[in-house]
Amino acid sequence: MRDVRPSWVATAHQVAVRALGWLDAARDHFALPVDVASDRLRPNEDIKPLGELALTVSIAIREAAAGSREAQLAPALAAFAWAQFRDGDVLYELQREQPIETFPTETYAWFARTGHRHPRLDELVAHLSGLRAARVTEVVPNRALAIFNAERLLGLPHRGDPAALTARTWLGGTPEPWAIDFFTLYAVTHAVFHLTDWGARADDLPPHLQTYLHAWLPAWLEVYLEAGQWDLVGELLIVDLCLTEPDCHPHAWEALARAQQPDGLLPTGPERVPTDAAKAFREHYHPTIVAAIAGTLAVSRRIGAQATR
Amino acid sequence: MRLGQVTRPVDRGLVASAPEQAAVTELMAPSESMVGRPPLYVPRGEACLLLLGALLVSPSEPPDDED
Amino acid sequence: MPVISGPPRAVYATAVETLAGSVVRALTGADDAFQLAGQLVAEGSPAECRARLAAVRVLGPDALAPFALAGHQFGPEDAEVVETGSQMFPTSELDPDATDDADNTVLVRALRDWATGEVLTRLGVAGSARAYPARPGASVSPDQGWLAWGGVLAQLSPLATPGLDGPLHADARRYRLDVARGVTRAMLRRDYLTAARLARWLASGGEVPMDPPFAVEPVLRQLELVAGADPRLQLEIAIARYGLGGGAGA
Repeated sequence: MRDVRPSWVATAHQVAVRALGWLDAARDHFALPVDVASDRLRPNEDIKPLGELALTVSIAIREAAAGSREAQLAPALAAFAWAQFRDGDVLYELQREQPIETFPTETYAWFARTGHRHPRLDELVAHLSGLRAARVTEVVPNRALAIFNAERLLGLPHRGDPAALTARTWLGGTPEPWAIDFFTLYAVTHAVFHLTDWGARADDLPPHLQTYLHAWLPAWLEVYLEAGQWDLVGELLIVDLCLTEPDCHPHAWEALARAQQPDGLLPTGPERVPTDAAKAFREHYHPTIVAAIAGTLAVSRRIGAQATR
Repeated sequence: MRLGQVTRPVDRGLVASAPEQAAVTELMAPSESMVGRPPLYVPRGEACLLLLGALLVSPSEPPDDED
Repeated sequence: MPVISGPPRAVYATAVETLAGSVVRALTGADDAFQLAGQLVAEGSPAECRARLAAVRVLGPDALAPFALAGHQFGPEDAEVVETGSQMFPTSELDPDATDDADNTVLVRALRDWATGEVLTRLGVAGSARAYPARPGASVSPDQGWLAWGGVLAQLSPLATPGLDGPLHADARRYRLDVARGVTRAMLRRDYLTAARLARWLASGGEVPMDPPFAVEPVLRQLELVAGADPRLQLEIAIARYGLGGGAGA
């Protein structure tokens, strides 16, 4: 059958396939250190990459729009990550030892989406999320939306009102679009990711925020395309795909594809990628995760858009 | 008011050279400036701390032991 | 008076800054007197005289802003300086069939000359009006996309003056969001001169409610406070403030 997709969708698909391939080849780097007790694992260095791998493949499985290679890879990587967490025991132990910490629950939510459940952890998070303490977790506003989305994915009663939570974020305030910086843009992207559950609930993003993002995303994208900040460019492209009617930005996709290495790694920014594999992983696994998610959503959202026309 | 009797520049001894003409052309249609110091771009090395999902280290987190 | 020597680009740029500085002082009320006639005074070498006329030519309608916007007395000697500058640095004829970048520069200059003619007419100089320059497939069009169009609009900021109106002004009103995107990008790139030039377009019709909201005054204030002392930039801001209706000294 002739490929009738716009060329940028083919480009996005290629970006996703390559990125997933690199993530698969990097399994050893995602693996948790052996013989380290759960409470000695480092959240940012050990757990975060593996959790983000689980997020990526959970989206690939949810969207089910990828080609056959990805359809095979994604469940295998989900199983790998779940096995690394000892079928959820590691997350359970982390949550047991740090009851008001939220990252074990948030990480677990991505596995729940792929059907990996841990009954004792389910009981624990149901209990914890009902505490008065859970209503006053001290986090920045976009992260409160992350917790909200995790509880939604786990089927727990919502402890917050998404409209109120959104109003407290930078994006919710619809500020001057020039009064933003690099890190605050990440706060914007994450507010959108969590509120829309990574594009699955585009209509949950209120109309005035959709209008706001249609207006200013092109300007932000242009600034960071020029700067070669591929990690942020990729996240901004995901934000676009979380809108009810994405603008797509084909030229940004072409630029992203040009920045991606033949092995699938997407560099974080314009700095040279280290030759040392472990160092390259630490510095550049994140943009490669972003590339895989963005490309996956580009293919599926495009198919969805055509199906409804 | 009406201008009809302006002294021609050449009669004032004012003749612009080709480089001078080019300079005026350039200054009249300025291009955007390239930014030498882009302060909004990421400080090197901090990119790997960026969080895709959730996992911020809380302030109460004990420092990592390297040993 | 600074010594005027060196390559024309640098010498003329200095002369432009000097003239821009006195226009700003006239617009903000810091100077009571303003006239262009002094640009042609006999004192000074021909090179100095050429540089001062080049500055008048480069600022175009903006050099007339103290007369047009701030009530300074305009006289035949001032008009003669503008006319002499135009004769010394003539604009090439617009080729109606050309599509290349070089001709785009010519179109930009022709549009600025049109604006100068409009302001002179307003100041009572008969015979200075010109036909609005146009050519088929004009490259000053929002169809280019907000990024490229914004680049040309920034070059044409002297047209964004209270009282001037034309097809470009209509486009800038209609595609206000595209202009605001250009301001946003320029602010984030710390290209404050471009930001001020584009903000001037937004200001030229006064503060207009937008959805999503985008207020011009805070951009101008931010630029005043952080963008530094470049007189050309201050000139853009001062005229933008007249667009917002407050006057630059308000």
